[in-house]
Amino acid sequence: MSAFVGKYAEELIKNAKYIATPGKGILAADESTGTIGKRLSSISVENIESNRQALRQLLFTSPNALSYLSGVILFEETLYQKTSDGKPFVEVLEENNVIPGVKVDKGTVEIAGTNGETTTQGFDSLGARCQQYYKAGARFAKWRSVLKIGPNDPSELSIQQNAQGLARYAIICQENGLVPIVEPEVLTDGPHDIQKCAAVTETVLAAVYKALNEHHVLLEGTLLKPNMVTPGSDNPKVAPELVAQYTVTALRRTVPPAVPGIVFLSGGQSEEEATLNLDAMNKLQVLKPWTLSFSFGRALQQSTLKTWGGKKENVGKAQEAFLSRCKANSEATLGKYGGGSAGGLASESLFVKGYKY
Amino acid sequence: MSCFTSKYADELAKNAAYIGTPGKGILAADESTGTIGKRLSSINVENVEENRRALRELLFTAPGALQYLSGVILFEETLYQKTAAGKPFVDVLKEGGVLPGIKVDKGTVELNGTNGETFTQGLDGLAQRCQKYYEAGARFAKWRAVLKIGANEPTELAIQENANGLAMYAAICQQCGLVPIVEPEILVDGSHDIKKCADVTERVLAACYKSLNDHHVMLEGTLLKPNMVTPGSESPKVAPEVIAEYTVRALQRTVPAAVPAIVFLSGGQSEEEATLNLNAMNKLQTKKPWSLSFSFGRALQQSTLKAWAGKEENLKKAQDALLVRCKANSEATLGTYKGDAKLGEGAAESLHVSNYKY
Repeated sequence: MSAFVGKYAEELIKNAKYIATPGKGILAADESTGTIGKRLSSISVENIESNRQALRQLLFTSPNALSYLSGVILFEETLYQKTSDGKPFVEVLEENNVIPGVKVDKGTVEIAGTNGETTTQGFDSLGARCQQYYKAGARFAKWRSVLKIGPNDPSELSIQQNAQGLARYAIICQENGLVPIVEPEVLTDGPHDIQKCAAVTETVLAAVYKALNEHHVLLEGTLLKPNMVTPGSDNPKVAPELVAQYTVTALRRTVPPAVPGIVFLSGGQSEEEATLNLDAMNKLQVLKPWTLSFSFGRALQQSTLKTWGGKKENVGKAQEAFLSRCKANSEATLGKYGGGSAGGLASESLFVKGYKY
Repeated sequence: MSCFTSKYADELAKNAAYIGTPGKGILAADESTGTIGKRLSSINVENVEENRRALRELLFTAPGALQYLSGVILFEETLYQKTAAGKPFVDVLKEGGVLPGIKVDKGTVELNGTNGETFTQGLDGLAQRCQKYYEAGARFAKWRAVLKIGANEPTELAIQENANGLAMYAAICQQCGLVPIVEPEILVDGSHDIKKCADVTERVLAACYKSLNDHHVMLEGTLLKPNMVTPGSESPKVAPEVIAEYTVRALQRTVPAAVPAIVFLSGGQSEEEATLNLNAMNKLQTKKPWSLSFSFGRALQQSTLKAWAGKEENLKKAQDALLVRCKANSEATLGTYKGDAKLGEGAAESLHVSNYKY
């Protein structure tokens, strides 16, 4: 085969397929310590381990919420944390048929000679780290590459570096039993129109799949986490149907049918926007050989965070808010979302210029 | 869009989708003068224009055959020929709901420094030629790139050159209103196993689709004409189900869903073999976002040629033979072929010719 079929091949295929189950999606709860600090400070909560633990416990023990999730991406610290009753988070997830995943990249660094373009680091001892994470219960991984649109960007260098990086990360994961989520995020920042975003997204995805082929990655055991195709952040929004059309066209032109599922990032979209766009894609009457679902961080947690405010007495209400977003997005993966779960918080834009994790 | 938008965009997408209509496929009747000469001499018929014309008239007027075809690929000479009664072949086809296509490449030449690998020529003045063909009624084109499997083949050079050539040809066709059939044929010659063929096919197809993306080709207005994934010609045959599994998996890993149809070449397979393999693919219960059909030359014409033998009194027998193969392959595109086609003489005969050159 062109693809590497190692000892984990069947398990990778099974897990990737499960994560792509219609009606389910991924909660991206893998904010690094620095990033979660920003979230906590926005609700005036101190960034200490017990608060980080409390937030994640709130999410993972939300009654009924886990039934809408097939996976949760964790930061390394969280992979080893427990509930206040002493139960490992990994067990809480597994008992509820949610596959634990882990963020394995170590952030971005600038590529010299470019206009602020970046490449992603994290290769050192990646294989050994993946083995450790597998032992701890993780079954999938995530690695975020970032590209930006500008007059001369993304450059061929940036596209190639990030595509090769994603492919190398992906094969190392597969060698060690983790389904790699391939995430080539094209940032929304900029004054460009939706056609430009579509053109760049197609070019980037074509390069990514060429690289995956070169590195013998088993596509049936991967997932894709792309941006939706939208106008740049400086431009007015467009209808979900338009986002759906451009996004699905871009994917149909580049993502081989062997990939079982595509789990979108939310970028800076509000909770409601992200759900409506995902719903529109699943309503689109066109042939889609992969499931279209979510891997949302901010777009699943925003109103939950604000409702919690760091206070124990708010946990119940915060968990209800979380359940509401999980359910809405589950319906969106089936094209059945009826709207109306947007409280004021759910419609708040989460766009931060030049967003760094 | 990453792809261009030409004034022909809608028409290209419509024609490509039509060619992929389930139940239909392509008759590849674009043998060059030299190649058709070999066919004619095998049945002791002289290679003169009138005989070439008579053969193609036999094919295009075979009663009931055109309903199973969505397209016919023609050689340039044939594009301008007529029936004995004076009706242009192009009109015969159009009236039968069949799109005329045209071979536009000019054969292969060796790549210097390789072990007999080739690239395909024909880009010079291609746009002008395509415009003329469009005016003459052609709506799709075909360009054959050839790769081979060997100890060190295909080389990265051969893969890149051929992928690039296909992409340039495809982009030019689309500018001129012709749906490009993208044909990266990996020859069956060799002693390799089916896994090796699968590996090479996946690598070649991945390179092709990267090139097509680089050249801004609109995939919705293209077709793919690949080899099936099989063991090498010197290796034992395998069951159609195995060929189906390896072939469809290779395509799932490389061909984007935007491509409306995949029309297989028959390589050196016998008529029956090609039909059984295509049928097995369409029976396979797995993700296939493109239709799977045929673009057969030898595998549609072999028994017809033998039945004709160049004699007018054999016309009906020959046309019946063609109808049998067309119907069988039509059923194969639907996965309903029962293997019960009345086998004409030669239908089970291998058509493999070592290192086949058109």
